[in-house]
Amino acid sequence: MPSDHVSFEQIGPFRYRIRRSGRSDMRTDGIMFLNEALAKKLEVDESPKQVANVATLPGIVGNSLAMPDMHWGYGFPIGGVAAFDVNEGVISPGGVGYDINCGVSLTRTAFHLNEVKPKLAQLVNRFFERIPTGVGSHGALKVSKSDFEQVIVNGANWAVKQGLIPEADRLHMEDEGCLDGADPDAVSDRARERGFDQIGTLGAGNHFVELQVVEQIFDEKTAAAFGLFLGQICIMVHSGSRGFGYQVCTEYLPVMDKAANKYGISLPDRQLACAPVGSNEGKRYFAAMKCAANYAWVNRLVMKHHAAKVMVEVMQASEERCGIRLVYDVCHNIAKIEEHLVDGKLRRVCVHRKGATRSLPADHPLVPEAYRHVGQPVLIPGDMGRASYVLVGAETALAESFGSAPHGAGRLMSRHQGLKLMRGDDVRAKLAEQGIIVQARSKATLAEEQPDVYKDVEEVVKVAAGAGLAKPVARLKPLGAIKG
Amino acid sequence: MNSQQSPFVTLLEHSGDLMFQARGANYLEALANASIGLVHQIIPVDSIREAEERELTIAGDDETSRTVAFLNELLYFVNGRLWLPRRVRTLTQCSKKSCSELYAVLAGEPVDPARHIFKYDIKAVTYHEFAIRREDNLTMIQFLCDL
Repeated sequence: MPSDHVSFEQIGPFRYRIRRSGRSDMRTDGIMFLNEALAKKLEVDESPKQVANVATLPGIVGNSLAMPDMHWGYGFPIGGVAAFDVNEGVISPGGVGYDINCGVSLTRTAFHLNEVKPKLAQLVNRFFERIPTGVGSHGALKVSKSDFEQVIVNGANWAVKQGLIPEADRLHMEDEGCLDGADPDAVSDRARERGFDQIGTLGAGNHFVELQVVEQIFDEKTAAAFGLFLGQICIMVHSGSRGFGYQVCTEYLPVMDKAANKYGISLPDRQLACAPVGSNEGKRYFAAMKCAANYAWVNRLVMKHHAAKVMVEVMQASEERCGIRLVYDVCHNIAKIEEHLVDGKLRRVCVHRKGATRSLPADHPLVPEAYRHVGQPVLIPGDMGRASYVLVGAETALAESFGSAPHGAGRLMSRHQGLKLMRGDDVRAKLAEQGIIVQARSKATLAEEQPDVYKDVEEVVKVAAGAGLAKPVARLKPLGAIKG
Repeated sequence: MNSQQSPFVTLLEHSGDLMFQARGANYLEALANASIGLVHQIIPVDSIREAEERELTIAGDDETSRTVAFLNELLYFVNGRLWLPRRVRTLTQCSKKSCSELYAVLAGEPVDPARHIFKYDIKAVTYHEFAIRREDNLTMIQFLCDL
């Protein structure tokens, strides 16, 4: 694709700026957290232009931001963060994405690698049998219509009531696994139809369930607070709100498109369609988005529940012996009303994180009590061949990125390039040589999701740490993965 | 149809998602090609039988919103109703000034898990980089899908 060049300049360590003076419609600067290597990769990427586009939206507070894993998305860049004043600013479905509350959970176990290694293949195979994967996957959990309404209104609270997770797990989730103000009346029957039998299903694309081992610890005190130790077996789940969230976003985009016209908002890209936060259109979308966010949390919890059951069965150990506890669950496609200090003033803003993880430091009131002395866990999954990272929120993130950090490695190549690079069977064999067992519904998915199509997550983590967005706590190596 | 390309639909490189360009002698032909090209990326259309028909009517204030809505409605047919279009038998739009509707008759069949293997989870057709233009005496519709 031809690139509309947007120029940017380095303004300090790990910080690049797109000047607002470069375009007449920008209301603020764009700031991208990068190093030289990551900045170079943007030469053939449209994402800087998207950072500039977001900077044109009304009521933007501070800068239009992009995290180190930024890449070309639709509307917002992937890795984009922007905050809008609740009175003068906007809310945009394009700043959240179709997969509302796509996110990551990390579950720890009491097992050491040595105990699990002989049963690794069995565990991965059983995960694959138990957790529905692939396009249109369904049937992991049967719920009644009234239960479904409870899921979308009460999120993780519903899962606790059903006995799917202990209360302690709920307290280890962003927003304790439920956004208040979810309004089922704002959600269509079509969205319900698409989401009804997809709770507890993985989906396809870059979503995964991985068995991982803690292979390096960078911060002993924080790792101990998160319950992590060297050689420990963990389970990471990456998924979102499935067809339910896609339908919510699809239906509200035209509504917001009309609203933008109605309120005289000029858009550089119609995918940035938006409405004032306080308008009827804005409030209604937000209420529907919250339903999808609550759905996504339950979706990940049900998968975690199934994975825990498999651990108990395969390891032939009691639940207590397995020691399965949620470390944390983060969302990385979301909009939220938050308070942030901007230029010395406390502002109420609607923060959009499109492919970005919240990152809160120690002593922040929104960090779970058990972690408040160290900070919020920041989960950054990598690719299925290299590593994923646990970081902890940092002060600089609050000061510069509305408490945000990267959400993953970030794609480097298209899916088509992945298919040309290596066949699915060869990807599976290559990973097996490294001791990583992979089960996937589709061989094409394996090719499209092979490690080399992603940037090295280590590079992203280095920049996040260097820029002060989050501090590394532990590195987790994949042992096995299931994919769609 | 080849799984990646067809004579009427071209896939362009995009780092995360799928970008299509569909062509036809006029707008309606390009849209019909875009429709089947889109379905083909999810399920090879050769595996879909023309067993029954479904009607589809889409309203929209302008050509872009109508086209995006039409393609998203197809995705809803596939992912929500689990019904697979194989061919666009009829596709018309109102010629009156005040009318803003697209009407289609689709031929296809319900999903049969034994025969229909889904390839991509296409979440939606987006407005990003969307374009309709005349090129080399053809109408071209370009759209980006979120995967």
